Amino acid sequence: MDIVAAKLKDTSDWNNSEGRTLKTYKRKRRLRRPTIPDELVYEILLRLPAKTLARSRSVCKTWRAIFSNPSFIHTHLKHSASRHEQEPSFLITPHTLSSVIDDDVWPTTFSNSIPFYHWRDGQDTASLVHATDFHGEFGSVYGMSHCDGLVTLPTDTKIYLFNPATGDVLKLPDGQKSNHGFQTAGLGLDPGTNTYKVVRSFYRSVDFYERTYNAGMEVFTIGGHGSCWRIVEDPPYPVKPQLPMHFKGSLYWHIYKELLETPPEGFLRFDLEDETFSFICHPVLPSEEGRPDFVEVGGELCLAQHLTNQIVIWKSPSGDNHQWDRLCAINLPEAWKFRPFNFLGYRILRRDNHICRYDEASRTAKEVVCADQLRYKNPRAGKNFDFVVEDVYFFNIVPYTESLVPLTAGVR
Amino acid sequence: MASAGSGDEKAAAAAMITLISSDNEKFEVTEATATLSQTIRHMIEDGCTDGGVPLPNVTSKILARVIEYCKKHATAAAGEEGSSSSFSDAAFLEVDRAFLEELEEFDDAFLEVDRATLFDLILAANYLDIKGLLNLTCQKVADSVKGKTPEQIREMYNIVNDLTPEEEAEIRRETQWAFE
Repeated sequence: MDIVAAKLKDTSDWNNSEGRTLKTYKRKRRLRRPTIPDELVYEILLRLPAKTLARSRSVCKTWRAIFSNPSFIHTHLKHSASRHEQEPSFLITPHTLSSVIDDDVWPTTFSNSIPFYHWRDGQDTASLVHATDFHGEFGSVYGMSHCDGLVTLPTDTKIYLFNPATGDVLKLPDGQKSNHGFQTAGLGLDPGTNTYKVVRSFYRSVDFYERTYNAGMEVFTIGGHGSCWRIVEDPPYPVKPQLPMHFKGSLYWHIYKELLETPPEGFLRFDLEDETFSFICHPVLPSEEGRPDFVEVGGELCLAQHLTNQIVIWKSPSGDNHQWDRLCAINLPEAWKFRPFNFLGYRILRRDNHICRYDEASRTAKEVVCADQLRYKNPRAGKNFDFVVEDVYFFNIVPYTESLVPLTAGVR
Repeated sequence: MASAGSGDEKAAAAAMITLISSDNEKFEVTEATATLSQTIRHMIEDGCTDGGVPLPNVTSKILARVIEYCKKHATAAAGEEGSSSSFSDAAFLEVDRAFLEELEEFDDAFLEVDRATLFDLILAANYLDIKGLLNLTCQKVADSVKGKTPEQIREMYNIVNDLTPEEEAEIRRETQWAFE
């Protein structure tokens, strides 16, 4: 609101007769090359991609000052997010193996070169945004998480944090040792302090035969003091070692039912602001098949129930309504039957390397692109990177909202 | 503030507002067209539009173009009212799609102006607080800057480089990746 008020005030300044005369005079002299009025520079720069912005910092003092202004970073992000809603875009990281060892459950020989390719719905080419080589720091890589232009990459040694658009990379310090499962990290914004937090679950001990466990949770605040992990309250139920869903200041985890005698029907929410857990009941689903998954639909948290040839979407209770309501059903292509997939956004589904879009008119999911058929291009090198499809072990694909959010300090 | 019922809308469409440009030219527009501008909407709400709305920041040349934009988009806004549900029927979506395409074509043609006019349109959109027009025109300028070097941007928009050579070198070092 303040910005709008200031904007109008600024504009009204050239209302006075002196300003007006001066302006007309200027325009006559510089008809061919008009100047951008100062009060509009902010509005125009908001609509530029991060890379152009970084390059344009050296245009002049006014431009430089705008880019490090936290309110600019915040508004730029909002613009970028609204663009993502209209034209979804993704970051794709193809992971290759440096050598193949047959008896690995999950390979330990992943390439340490991590490229990020940006792909926008409708394009046949994904362009390289950023790449870092970690020179043998890790062996395995796991699933990425994204929030507001930041991306976490958990590996078997460290967790890395990237802002591919600004080229910032942060290696997080070691957390608690975990005795079970792959390393996973949730990422989200704490709306109370406007800081981004990485949340990691770990198991001090676990025994599936006896169904005993000792689970913990730790938090790393980006740009926070001390730059270290803090152990928070233990989760009331064991959480599945898989990526949690970030939604409006909370992370949502599935419960590790295999570790419980009588598992409850529900999931866990971790509030990023007060760093506490709460248990959320499931809807009573009409069919037992298919584990429900989290998905955001029109700004609300929903559950997606995977049936044989359909996905049923349930809307979370809100206001006075304590019921989970059946929102809609999406028909799946024949070939998708019995195949696991996940959501990359409400209308976007992923199965293996295929990305599908849900078409509202026909209520079916249709394939948009296949990650191993895209061209991966480095615009700086001006040549095509030819990934031999067989060499790519798997693709990390996350929805992507480009931002200037720094990895060193919070955004206000 | 909430959108009026269809009966009221017809009444509102009949109400005319007079806009007066800086060079004293008068433009008669419907209230539906005029209220695309938040600034004018507030004036109408405050009941201070009798005898016309003077817009001393906007010339008749620019105001005529702004009104052209508002007329087109006011029709669009009225059309959207009935089908704003996110899970709307296929029939509605088909109508929306055709309409949106037409609107896009209009916007593209609307932007075919010289830079000075474009800046005047941005200033007018900002002053009149017309979000859609501000977005459209600012995006046009932003697109023209994409992929340009700082030198080219300064040249295009007549910006004086007031950074010291040391400051400029420092920024270049920090953002080297963007130039690679």
